[in-house]
Amino acid sequence: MSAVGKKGRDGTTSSALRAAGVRVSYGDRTVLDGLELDITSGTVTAVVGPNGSGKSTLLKTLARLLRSAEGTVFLDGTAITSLPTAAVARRLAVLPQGPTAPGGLTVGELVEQGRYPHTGPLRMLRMQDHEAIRTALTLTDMTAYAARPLDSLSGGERQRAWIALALAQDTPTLLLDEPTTFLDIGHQLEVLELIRRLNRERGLTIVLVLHDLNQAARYAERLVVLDRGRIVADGVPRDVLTTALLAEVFGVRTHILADPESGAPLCLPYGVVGHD
Amino acid sequence: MSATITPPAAVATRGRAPRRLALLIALLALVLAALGLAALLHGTPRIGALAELWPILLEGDGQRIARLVVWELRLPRLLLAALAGAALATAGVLLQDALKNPLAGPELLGVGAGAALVVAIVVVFRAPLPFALLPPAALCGGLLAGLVVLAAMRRSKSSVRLILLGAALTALLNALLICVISLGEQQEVAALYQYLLGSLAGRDWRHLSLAAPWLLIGLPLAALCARPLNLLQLGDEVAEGLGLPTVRTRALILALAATLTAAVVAVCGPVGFVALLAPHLARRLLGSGDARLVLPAAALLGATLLVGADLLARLAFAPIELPVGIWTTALGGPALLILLRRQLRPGR
Ligand SMILES: Nc1ncnc2c1ncn2[C@@H]1O[C@H](COP(=O)(O)OP(=O)(O)O)[C@@H](O)[C@H]1O
Ligand SMILES: [Mg+2]
Repeated sequence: MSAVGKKGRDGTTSSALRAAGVRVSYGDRTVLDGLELDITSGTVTAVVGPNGSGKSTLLKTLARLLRSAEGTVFLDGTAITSLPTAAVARRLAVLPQGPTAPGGLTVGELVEQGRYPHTGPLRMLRMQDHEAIRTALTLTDMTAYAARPLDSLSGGERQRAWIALALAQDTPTLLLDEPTTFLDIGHQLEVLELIRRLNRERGLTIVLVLHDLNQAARYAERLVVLDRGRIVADGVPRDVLTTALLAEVFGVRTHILADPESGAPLCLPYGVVGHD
Repeated sequence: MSATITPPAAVATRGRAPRRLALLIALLALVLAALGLAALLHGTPRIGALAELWPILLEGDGQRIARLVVWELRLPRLLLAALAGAALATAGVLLQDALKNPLAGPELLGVGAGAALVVAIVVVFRAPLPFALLPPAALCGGLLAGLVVLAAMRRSKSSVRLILLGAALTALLNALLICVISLGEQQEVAALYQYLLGSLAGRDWRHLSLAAPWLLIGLPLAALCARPLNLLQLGDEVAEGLGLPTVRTRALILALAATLTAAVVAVCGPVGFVALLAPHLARRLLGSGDARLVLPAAALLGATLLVGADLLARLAFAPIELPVGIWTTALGGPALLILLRRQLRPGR
């Protein structure tokens, strides 16, 4: 099962998302400039980098939540700006950082909205919509919470509900901005295991922003390191996580070991560079 | 995911709100019918019994005076009150949900101020306009002001900026209005006041037929906004990610709200608080913010509130009539405070 998607069913790799020479600014502050990134179908990519390095901006640009002033984002080979909003939403789901819901909204009501791009002009739910909602709730283990208001849930449950919303969209590509922030370690691992399962069992292409470098190294097959809007390293975790890179990008002094269980690189931060 | 303790199995996704809507609609329909009958019966001349009302309504029979009063005065006024109340409440839901702000109201669209400005100009400068053409002129003024405000809003994406822009432009229109009023003479100002407070006194079929087409088209269109409104409440990024073109959709929804409001204020003047109160009341009674349920509930509540308030306006101090706008504001303000007291309490 795990090979499905990695290479595509016919053994070739195809591009799910590609940013070509993308420039994005807020007013006259340019955050991304001439950025190039190609995301292969069926892979898990983690975007890491210091606060304010442009991770969220990159994700929003890939999802067309932000328009690039220059350059183009291609979704499955088509310029994303040439697609209607609903067509984008049928191929790509995005969970922004720290979403909020109106008070009283139940998990089921939230997840149901994920079917919006699939429904007709009258927005009635059909069989396959109910099926997709059920699947999304099952995958995130939220079925029992369907009638509960979001504001009565713990942080971890609430985050799983938002992930269920994205899953109900039933898209081949999934973008997640800091899906584990504010969760305790147990819930962090639950979310990461779910992401791994979605990739391996369903062949989803996943790009996620993570803060924990060790988790990124363990759960993603590719790390993209952003620093001040530029990609400064990109590749398999073992090649990317080096003492020199971590000192330069994050300003920390580290030791890097091999994780005894998975063989992934494991970095142990010791101190801030120049503050010994 | 074995560590989470799951509560007793529940597969329903929507809670009790849909059932509450059915109950609420049944209840409000009864109340509205009772208030409507009271509105047709009471006043001068008073119609003593329902047995006298039916022949008048159904066969055009009965005493000449009673027939005239019911058909030419009370019935159009009642229908206008119900339609206007429903339209204001609907506009309120559209604005509050589209702008994600519980205090957003139609006054943000400059529509009321624009209509009032036209009325003031006509009255104060004694424009050669037949009295009957005043409401259509006010409608044009309201729509035009709404168009200007919406055009100015076109480039803004954030709700907060839209609200600030709307408030600023409305303040500007209101300042112009005050300038015009200050040029008027006492008698004219008194007449203007009646309009500015919002009143249904003396409104007849002509007024109703001016407003009704806009409202009867606008209200069903509002129902189509329910799903988009639910998405917008999740925030623009999530909504856009779910396939909703947020900027265009919000502009269309605001335009619809402006149209509904303009049709009402053109014939009734700016009737306060219904647009603010009815949506909040509907959400509280339903225990849900789902626009698919809130829109019909709020519309029916708005109709009931305005019909009830107009009944009070006519009968409380009879034969003197206080404009219905005074009643809705006097009763609506405290009611809103009570409704929102939970949000107003510090520490939340
Ligand atoms: N809406 C915005 N308006 C102006 N500047 C912004 C906005 N969003 C982000 N920025 C700026 O862009 C830079 C990158 O932000 P972001 O992409 O959110 O970084 P990250 O997600 O890596 O923390 C930061 O310097 C931030 O201040
Ligand atoms: Mg971020």
